[in-house]
Amino acid sequence: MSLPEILIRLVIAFGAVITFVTVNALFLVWLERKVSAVIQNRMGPTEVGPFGLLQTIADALKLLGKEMITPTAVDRWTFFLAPVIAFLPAPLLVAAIPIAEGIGVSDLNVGALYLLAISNIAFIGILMAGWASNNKYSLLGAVRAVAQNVSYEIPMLLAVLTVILMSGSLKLSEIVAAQSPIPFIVYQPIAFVIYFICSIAESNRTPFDLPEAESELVAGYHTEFTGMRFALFFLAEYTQVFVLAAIITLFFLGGWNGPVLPGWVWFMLKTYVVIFVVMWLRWTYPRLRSDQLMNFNWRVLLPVAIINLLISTVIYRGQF
Amino acid sequence: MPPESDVSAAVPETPAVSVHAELIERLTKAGATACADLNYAQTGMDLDIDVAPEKLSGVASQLKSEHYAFETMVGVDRQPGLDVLYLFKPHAGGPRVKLRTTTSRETATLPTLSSIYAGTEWYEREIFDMFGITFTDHPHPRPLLLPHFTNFHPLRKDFHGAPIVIPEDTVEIPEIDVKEAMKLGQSDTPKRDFFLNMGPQHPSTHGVLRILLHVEGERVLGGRCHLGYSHRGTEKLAEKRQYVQFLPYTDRMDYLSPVNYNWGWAKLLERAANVETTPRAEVIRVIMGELSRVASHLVWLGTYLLDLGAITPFLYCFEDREMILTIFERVSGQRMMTSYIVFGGVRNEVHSGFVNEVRELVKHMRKRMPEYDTLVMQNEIFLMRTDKVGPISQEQCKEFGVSGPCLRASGVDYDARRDEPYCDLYSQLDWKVQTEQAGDCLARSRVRMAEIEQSLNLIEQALEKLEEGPFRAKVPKLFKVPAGEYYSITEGPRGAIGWYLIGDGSNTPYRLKVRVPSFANLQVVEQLIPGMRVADVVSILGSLDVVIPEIDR
Amino acid sequence: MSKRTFWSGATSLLTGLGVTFKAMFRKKVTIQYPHEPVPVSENYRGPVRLIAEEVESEHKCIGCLACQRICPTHAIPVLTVAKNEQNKNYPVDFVIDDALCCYCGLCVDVCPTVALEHSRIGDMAATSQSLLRREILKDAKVTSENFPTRVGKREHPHA
Repeated sequence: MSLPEILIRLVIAFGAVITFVTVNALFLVWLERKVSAVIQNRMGPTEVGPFGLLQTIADALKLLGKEMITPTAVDRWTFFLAPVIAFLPAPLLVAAIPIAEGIGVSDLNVGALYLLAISNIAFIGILMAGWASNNKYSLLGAVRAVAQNVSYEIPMLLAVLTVILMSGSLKLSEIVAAQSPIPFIVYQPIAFVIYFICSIAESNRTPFDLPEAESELVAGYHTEFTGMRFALFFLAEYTQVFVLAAIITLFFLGGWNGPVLPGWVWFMLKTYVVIFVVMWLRWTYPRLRSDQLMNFNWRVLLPVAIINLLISTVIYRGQF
Repeated sequence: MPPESDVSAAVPETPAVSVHAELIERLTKAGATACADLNYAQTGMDLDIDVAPEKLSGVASQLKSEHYAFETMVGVDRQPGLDVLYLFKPHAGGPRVKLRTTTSRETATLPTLSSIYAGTEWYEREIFDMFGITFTDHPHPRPLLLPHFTNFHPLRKDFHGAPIVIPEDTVEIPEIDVKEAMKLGQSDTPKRDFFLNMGPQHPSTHGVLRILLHVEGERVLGGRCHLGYSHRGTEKLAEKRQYVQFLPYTDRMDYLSPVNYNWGWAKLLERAANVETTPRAEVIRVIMGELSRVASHLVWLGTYLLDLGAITPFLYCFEDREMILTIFERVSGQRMMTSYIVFGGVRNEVHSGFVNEVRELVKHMRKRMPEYDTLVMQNEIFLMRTDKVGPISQEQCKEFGVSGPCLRASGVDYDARRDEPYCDLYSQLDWKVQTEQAGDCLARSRVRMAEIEQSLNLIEQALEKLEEGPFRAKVPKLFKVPAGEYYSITEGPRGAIGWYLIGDGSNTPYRLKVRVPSFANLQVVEQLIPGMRVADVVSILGSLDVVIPEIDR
Repeated sequence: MSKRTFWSGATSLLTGLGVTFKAMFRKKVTIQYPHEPVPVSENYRGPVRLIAEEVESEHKCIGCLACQRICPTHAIPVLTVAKNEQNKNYPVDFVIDDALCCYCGLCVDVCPTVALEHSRIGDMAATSQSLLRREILKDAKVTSENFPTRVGKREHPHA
């Protein structure tokens, strides 16, 4: 490929990723508000746009207009870079997810590894945010977030490992191909549950949202960030929700396999149903305390994940 | 004109005459100087005891050994002397005891009782604020409600208002906090601990409360509550308002259960003036009071779950509460500040749809209770957050004067609706006082949920007993209360609300003291939180169901 | 307290989800103010006004100042009284400050001639505090849009 071609592809890919990230975040915020409203017997946003669909755009415009206050005693460069680093993995991850057979920005040979590795960059941004804020609440929140994220990575990896084992490849399209006609959730229900729980913990959502527990720490690690900086954290969180749901779809629910409808429609449908369930859980449960969270991870999830992996290697040896 | 002291006509030794002869004998041995029987029905107390300041701790220790719980302390400016009254409640049967001690205006010193009854600590700080009485050997002689730089004492009779001047160097405040906080728990690894302010603006402190926490990592080593952010001087205002005029103030003390406070005020006046209310008014009062209790418990449930992280039950609870508030609005004209229960009865006739609407509400709530049970009380995460967290022992209940669901959750079977009968209807209806044994957050939650059920039962039965008749006894428009000292207790959703009134025959009170249940309940928190995690502090605060404006008055 | 096992815990989480799921299909309770008005009841204690028995007829205030004395928040800042030809008192200025009023209804209760009542205005907002000081005499004679005088038989609201 010649240089202009590469450049054009780069620009299109970049544009597509950024557009998708933004539109997805806007849609998810609206979906969150509507789902919470429906569960709570009230109407969500209704004034701005049909069904309140443009509400998030109004909120984003408002956020852009807010003053970006920098407290005087913060660690300047860390403070500036924290939201950037927290947001950085989001478009990188979206770029690596194919949404249908042959449709997607890129389909790496080591797609699964890439996804799992890059998503860990985000919590460096969280730690930077908590530290740089010069605020005890933020520090507490950031410390909790890091402990939680790092711990919950391990059962997550073990759960994904079973799937990779069964499909024999790290390439995402091959993982999905290995799931026709039966998706891996049938063969690996325990791994599915473990991965689902860990993904909620990774995105810091209730019942694992202690890092940003509103009623305890006001807003946790992003207390001191205002305006566009807050918007970046927000974007990062919702994109991560999408990415984790997409990974669940790819690894366990058969990706874009499905009759009648085109592949990408199935993919989007499955992903957003998973996101809906994640939101439903958020609005139903109270949050776990930090030690209960860690206990649950190290004493329940990890042993179960290890045992599941061992049993899978025995049962499914050579079948795929 | 200061009223005469009650004990002026008392006989020093009354072994043959008094019903409580043995108790009087023991107390006189411990140091009491004069004892007199009181008429419980009117004054709310059984025994009035005079004690000299030096013998105070002796008598208090004797009372503690006889299982008396401390209830409240009232400071009075008798002009020229300053009196302090201590009210005690028996946990093991016996008469209600009122201790009285005096100090002069110049010396204004009394010994502290906080080594015997830990609950007197905050009351003594408040009396220091309001009257200027210093309590020797007090562990934390710091103002409770007023800022530390006020140099006047509001409840003294020679105080007629003064501006609070904020001194130039108020940056001094953090110094005081840190020095005081250093008296908090010692850390094993110094330099790894820090002070965290659950500050006045905080989503889950149920009002404006500031708790200074001494924290090491996630563990709390100690905490101090700072109050007074919503102090409005209600007790001083009461001395300048006629009995009729004081009604709106009672609504606004505890705004989540205003009906129960109206009722307490009305009952106090009826006791003092020896007025009986009408049967129809009794029934309406019970229905409104129990509806208010349900509404308050719904707020507790919603906000407690909100503190714990679940946002949805809050919305469900407020949806149910909306129905109750709509009924309140149709009956009295206001949703929250009803000012409906007044001296002699209720203020106006209930609207025509009252009985049907209340029946519908009870039916609706009965359908909702299993939902709350499934969504909240059985939820594993909720149980993990509340089980075995923050247990209050019965000893602590006695020392601090804990009352209400917090007391009943620790196994003490006391409910003012049954034990201090202020409304005959309660004894005619079929209901039970709910208790639990564990005393932790889960037990308190269970008691409150069970109380909602019992309130629904009470409302249903009371609706059957509603008969035609006048809704208010004939009382003069601007009534007065005869001179004397009166005490009345009603059971609010948070605990026993005590009203101490000293009337001097005019149409304004001489001294009004409101004993609010949240004051005693919150004080226990300082003993409960050492060793807990920060998240547990939130859980404990939520389960105590305190309303700060009623503490600050 | 029943024993908590792993299975009881896990099932409790699922049944909790069932409750929120069922809630999704319930009727929504939002009142879309200001498109829909918020209902107030007959007994509602709104801003206080004088009663006139017929349109353009006199109010019944005799200028006894009982309402001004009884108000706990001193929300009647101005109540000037003069004597008319029959040597009876009548009010010349009568201002109620709605910013101070706590809508307790004590003035309505204490008035000897039942001259005051609560209106049913459920939503009151003003852009400055001084706009909330109302001269209620002018509302009594002329039916104004904001505080329409209730025309009808005079009856004590708490009778």
